[in-house]
Parts: sequence; C-alpha cells; structure tokens
Amino acid sequence: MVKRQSRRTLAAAMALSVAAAALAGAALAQTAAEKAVAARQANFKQLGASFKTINDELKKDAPDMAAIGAAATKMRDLAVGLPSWFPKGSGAESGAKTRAKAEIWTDAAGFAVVQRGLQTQTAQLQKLAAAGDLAGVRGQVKPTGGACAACHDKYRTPQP
Amino acid sequence: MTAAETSPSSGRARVWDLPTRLFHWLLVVLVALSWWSAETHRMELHRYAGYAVLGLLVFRGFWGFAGSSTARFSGFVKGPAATLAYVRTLSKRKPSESVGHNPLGALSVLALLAALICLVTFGLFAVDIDGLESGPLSQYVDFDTGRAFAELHETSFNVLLVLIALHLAALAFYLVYKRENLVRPMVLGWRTFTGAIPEVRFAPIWRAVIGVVIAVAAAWLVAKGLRI
Repeated sequence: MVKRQSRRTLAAAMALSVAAAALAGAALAQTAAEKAVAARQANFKQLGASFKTINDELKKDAPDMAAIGAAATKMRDLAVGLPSWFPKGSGAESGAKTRAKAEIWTDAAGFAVVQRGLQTQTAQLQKLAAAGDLAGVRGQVKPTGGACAACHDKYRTPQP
Repeated sequence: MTAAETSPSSGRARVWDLPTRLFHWLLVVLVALSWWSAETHRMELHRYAGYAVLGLLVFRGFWGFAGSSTARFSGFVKGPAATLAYVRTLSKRKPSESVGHNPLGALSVLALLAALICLVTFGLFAVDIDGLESGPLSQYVDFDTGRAFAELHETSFNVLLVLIALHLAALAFYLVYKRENLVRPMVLGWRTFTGAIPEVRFAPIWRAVIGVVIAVAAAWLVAKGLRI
C-alpha cells in the first residue's frame, strides 16, 4: 500500500516536472529584443536598489559607510556599463514591453549627454563614499537623483 | 462626562462637533494637497501631507470611540436590517433627517477610512523607481517590496477616487432629489429638523485635545521611521 502510494507520488512528481520544463521552455523562447529589455530592467533594478541602500543608510543615526561605499561603487560601475544596455532594436517598435522611447536611438547625441551625466554623478558619489565623507555623500544624493530623473523625464514614456 | 445638548422645540440642532468637522475639511485639503504634490513631484511636501493624513486618521479612530455620539462608530455603524430598512426609505422625496451619518453613509465612511488607511500604510513603505524618494518605513523592506508597495499605493488612490466620486454623487442625490443639504451641517455643525429634535451627546473639548496629542505623537513617530 505504502509502496504503491509512493510510486503514484513519484509519477505525479515526474508529470509535474515535465509540465514545468515545458513551461520554462516556452518562457525561454524570448526574442533578442525581449532579452535585451529584461537584462536592461534587471540592471536598472540593481541601480535603484543600490541607491535605496545608500538612502536607507543616510536615514540612520549612524550610517554604515562600508555599505554606502559598496553600493556607490556598484552604482558607478553600473553607470559605466549603461550605454551597452540599449542595443539598437530593443525599443518599443520591436514589440517588447518597454518604456524606452525611440528618441534614445534617434537622438543618440542627447542620450549620450544624460548618460555621461549619470556617470559623472555616480563617480563623484563613489569618490565621496570611498573617502568616508558622510556629509559629502549626503549632498551628492540630490544631483545623483537628478541625473536619474534627467534621463527618465526625456527618454522614458510616462507610466500609463 | 459628556455634555448633553437638548433643544425643546423643532428647528435647528447641533449634529456635528467641531473636531469632526475639522477632521473632515482638513482631510479634503490634505488629500488634494497629496494628489497635487505627487503629480508635480514635490515628494518632500507629499510626505508631510501623508504624515498629516496619518495623524488625522489616528485622531478619527480615537474620536470614533471617545467623541460625540454622532462621531462614534457605535453610534452610526448599523446592522444589515437597519441598513435595509433605511434603503427602503431612499426613494421618498423628502429629507431623511438622519442624526449624523445615515446607515448607508456609515458604510461610505468605513469604506473611505479603510481606503485611506491602506493608502497611507502602503505609502509609508513605498519606494520610487530610482530608489531616491521613499516612505519613512521603506528602509525596513527591500527594493522590490518597496516597488510593490508603490504600486499598491497608486491602486488604493484610484479606489479612493471612486469612493470620493460616490460620496459626491450621494450628496448631489440628497440635494436634488431629497432636497436635503448635507454639506451645510458639515460646515456649520447644525441642521434643521421638522420633526422631533434628537438628542446628541457632545464630548468635552479636553478629550479632543488628548486625541490630538496621540495623533501628533503617532504621526511624528512614523515620520521618524520609528526611530526615536
């Protein structure tokens, strides 16, 4: 009785894993544009999460400079890599669900300016954090957020 | 402890105490301010408006148990039978002359308060997409959770807008169809009765002071991120 039940359980588990594998396969069948969008969004999420880490620390009575430094370094490195997150053909015209505006590619020079803006501000943030300059980090938060907003206001469609 | 107010003749009688009226109109102003500040990305102002709404809600909760009889939950929240009985009188084209909230209005009050409590609570944990602007309690959740709270914050605001629209529609219905102005009593505190003048028990003002102290303390504590 026990044996038969365990065999049935095993069969059910196998059927389930086959179904799961089929589903995963379907999910993996992404277009190149969808892959680029997913990677881009994952990167931006890391950027936002790192900035949140810094802002959370700044709210504390005794902010952890090591945590701020690590997050600032991550932000700087992500900003350096940002230009590669927007391969041609990964806009909304590809059919992928993205809020990236076409101007990113049609106004490449303007887009490069705001990218450099983020790189400059995050590099400054990292420098201040590495130097243990808490007041400096506090003051650098606003321009860094401003660099995020500069691009979001111009090159991202507003949320529906 | 409570000062009873009785009027012998028909005519005007006080129905809403000052704290309840102040709560109502401050809430109107602050919800409008919250909306405007969010739309125009004035997030510092938006947070302060949110703390003020939080304080108002705490006060209203306190006043719902310690306030005047028309402000108390036990005074206006009615069961299904009483509510149904009231619904049957809705089609009559004459003022309902309810003392305080009628049974349907009570449901509206509870729904509005619930929506506001959700709205404020979700806002406390919300994080914007840049990880820059955030509620005072978002430091206790991770980025993804904070983003989820931001979505809920927005959804509950849309629910609140629907409830406000319903609230205004009800006022218009009473004004036009039943020829009963419900706004004036909420401004002035009194209304006229053609029949018997009901008795409303008013809470003393010192009790409202206690409520304000509790509300300010709660809002301050939350605004500080629960760090004293």
